[in-house]
Amino acid sequence: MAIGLPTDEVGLILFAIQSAIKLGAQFQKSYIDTTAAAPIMLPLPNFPSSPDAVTAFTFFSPGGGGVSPGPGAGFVSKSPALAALVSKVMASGPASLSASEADSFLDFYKEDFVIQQASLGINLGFDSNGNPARLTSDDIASCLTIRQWQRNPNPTMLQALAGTFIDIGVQYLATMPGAVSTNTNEGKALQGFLQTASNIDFATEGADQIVEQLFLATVQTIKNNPAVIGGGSNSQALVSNVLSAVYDKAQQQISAAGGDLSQQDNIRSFAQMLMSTALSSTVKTVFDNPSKYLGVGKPGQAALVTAVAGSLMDSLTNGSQINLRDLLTPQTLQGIVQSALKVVGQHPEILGTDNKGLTTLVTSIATTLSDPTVKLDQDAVPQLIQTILASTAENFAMLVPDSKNPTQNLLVSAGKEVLTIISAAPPAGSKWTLTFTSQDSLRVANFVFSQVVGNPDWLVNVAGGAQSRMGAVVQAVLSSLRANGTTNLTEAAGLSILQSVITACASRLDFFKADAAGNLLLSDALDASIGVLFNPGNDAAAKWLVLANDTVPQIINVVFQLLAKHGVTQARIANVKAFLQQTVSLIAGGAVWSLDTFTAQLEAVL
Amino acid sequence: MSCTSFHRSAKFLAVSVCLAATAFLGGCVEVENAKTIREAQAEFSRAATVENSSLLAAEQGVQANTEAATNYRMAATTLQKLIADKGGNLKKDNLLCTAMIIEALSWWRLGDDDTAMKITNNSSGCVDSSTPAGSQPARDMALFQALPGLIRIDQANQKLANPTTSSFRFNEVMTLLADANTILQTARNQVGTGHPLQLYLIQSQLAIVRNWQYAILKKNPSGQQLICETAHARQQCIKLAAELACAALAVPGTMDSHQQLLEYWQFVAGCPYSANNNPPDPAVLSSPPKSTTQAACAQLNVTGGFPDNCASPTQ
Repeated sequence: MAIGLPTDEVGLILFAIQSAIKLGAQFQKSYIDTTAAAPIMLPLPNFPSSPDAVTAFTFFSPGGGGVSPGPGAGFVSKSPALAALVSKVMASGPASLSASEADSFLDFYKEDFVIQQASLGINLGFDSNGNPARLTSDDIASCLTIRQWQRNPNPTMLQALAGTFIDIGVQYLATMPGAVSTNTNEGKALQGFLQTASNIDFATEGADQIVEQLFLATVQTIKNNPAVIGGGSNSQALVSNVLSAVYDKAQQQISAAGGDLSQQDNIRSFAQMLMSTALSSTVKTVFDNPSKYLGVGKPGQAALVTAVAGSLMDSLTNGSQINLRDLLTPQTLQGIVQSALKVVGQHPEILGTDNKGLTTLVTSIATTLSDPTVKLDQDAVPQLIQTILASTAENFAMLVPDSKNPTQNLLVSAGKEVLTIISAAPPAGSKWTLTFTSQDSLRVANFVFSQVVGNPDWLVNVAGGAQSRMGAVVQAVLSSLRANGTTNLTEAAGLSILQSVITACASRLDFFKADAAGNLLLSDALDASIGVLFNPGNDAAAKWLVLANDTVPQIINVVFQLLAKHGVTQARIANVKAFLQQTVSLIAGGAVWSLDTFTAQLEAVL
Repeated sequence: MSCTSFHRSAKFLAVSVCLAATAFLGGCVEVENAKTIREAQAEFSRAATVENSSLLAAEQGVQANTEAATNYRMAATTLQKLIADKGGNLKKDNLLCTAMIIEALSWWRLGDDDTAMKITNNSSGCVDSSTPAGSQPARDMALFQALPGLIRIDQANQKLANPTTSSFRFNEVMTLLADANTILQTARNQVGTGHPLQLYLIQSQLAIVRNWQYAILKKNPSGQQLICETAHARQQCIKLAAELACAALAVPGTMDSHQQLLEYWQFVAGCPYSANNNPPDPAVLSSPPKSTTQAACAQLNVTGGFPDNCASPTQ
């Protein structure tokens, strides 16, 4: 029900009447719903509520004739008196027992029942009425007071009325001139919130809780980040746009979560974090270009900040195999928001006609990188999303060949291929078995992304192979290190070697040529360098020097840089191998060694 | 607007809303109807509390029975009048089924089975056709389904309690109990596995088991016939105890109370868990209900004791 604009005391009276009608209608509906839903105690039908001789016989029954014995049959042979009672019941029926015999039979039953239950770890005792279950009034009420629905389809009266109260309050504050001062920046920002919130139906289940948390996020953000309110009317538009997107998506997701209260809490918390982050981290970008990001002065144009907030709310909570929402911190979310805003600002076409493009891209990154084959520490995924979005913003045309299909992002495919290789478990028999941390993975991914941005042909498949050139290099280096390395080689040294080889390959395509046996020259070069340096038969003095973690990456770097400089041929690789073997021998013999001399001598050889 | 004038306006608004709301709610017929139903619900629950305490907590006494009957009668007559006068309004507000089932249950507890059945037979139209499926009163509709079974249990119990042993016919009682069990099982299927009404309906089925055992006592069989009859009842008890443990899992509440309740029924019917049984008792009973798992419940498929065919030579 829309409530009119109160301007004076007469207007206030009308507003009050309209509000009362609204409250009254809500109260009436809630009262009736609550009556239908009210739990009632249900009476059990009549039955003998105390055990009798048949109960006892059921417990002690010896079984036979294809019928299994009772759970207490084992007690009978231990007590002649009990055995006599069971025999009498068997012979003449349970009603044949005299009153005293029946009492005795029941006493045996109660005692042995308690013993039998104790053997299962259930300790019973008898109350004054001989009731071992000791049911209290509360127990009975708990088990026989039955509500109408398994899950009440109606909001509780408190929820419904709270929603209506907030609804009235929001409309009053949003439309009452001066209730929120529009002369201050804070007032303008809050006015933006309230005006947007006044379109929300608060009596819808859960709406008031979402708005309450988003309102808190807004107020706290304004308090902690005064820049948010520095834009005057732009601040108002910013708050309004972000609220609109975050609220709509949160409400949709909460509805989809059904009755899962934990999931609902998570969605509300994430919406609160996104609201705060989207306000505080976009201020500069948005206020520098309000027409683009807020649609100011361009009626009908989508506000990009709304599209970004909505897309992130969707993509970070749905669709991927991991729950990104739980992995995000305010810092990582801030990075993603800023990167997303940047890519959308520079290339609005990524949103597509239905504003789903960004959602699709982010979901695709998360889904691809959380694929089980990647084995990437999930904490690293948000940072990779940020990195890919940031790179995409700068190199959109290159990285997204088909702007209508943003999931075909070169960095996504490069990231998956490389991270799958480096996160794979070392094969059996490996000498170097260290596994990479998520920070290592991020470092490699960032390096690979920079290489791909510099030369997208890195992702062209190696001739006759299923791997890209980048994948082939990473695979070859890691295979060589796994096969030849020692346990002393650190992850940092390994990654340094990897980067050196990639850099060298970037400047000389010859590494991807095949030798006479069909192997890549790259592999031959690795065998000639890593294979020789890590040869376990080398003299201890040589190992001591060349395999030091700060030396071996330098040697490999020199070898590959010089091969790249002079050209990669089988003959040069053979020369490298011979030179390295000679160097190792000389060091074993006590010769002087320095990196500069080594570099100069190798250059001369090549 | 200055701060002072804003506060004055807000205060004025609040007072106006309160006055208007009070005036608006004053003569609301729908709220009055709901209020009457609530009072009847309270009377009914008080009576049921007295009866259940008398049965399960052995708090017996003539005075308690009188008190329960008085409360049931107040609920029944109040709702009878309300339904006659305002049935249309109740139906529109989705309250007619609730009013009718409480009236029917009250007459049942008062021993007026005919009136209870008459209401039950008229219950098919108690839901307004515009009510969405998820908002239909699930508990009340399932109780209409179950009430004929509940009535049969009491009828069987009455036959057993008759001091004139010559009038006791075992087969007649067992027919009533078997029919009652089928009817309650149908109601359970209707209401769905996670609904709290399962707790009540399963306990009503356990009440059938106790009446069955009472019938065995009255019939007084011996030898293999006695072993067979008690084994059938025990098997039905084991099945229901396992289902009760699982139903309790789906109902939020105090698990301690549910455990106590399970122990009560196992004690009163002589069917505690036993690994020695052939076949062994279901896994959900092998540990206290606190340890019962959804996975074990999903596998639950225990053979019951019905039909009771111990008279056949194969037994």
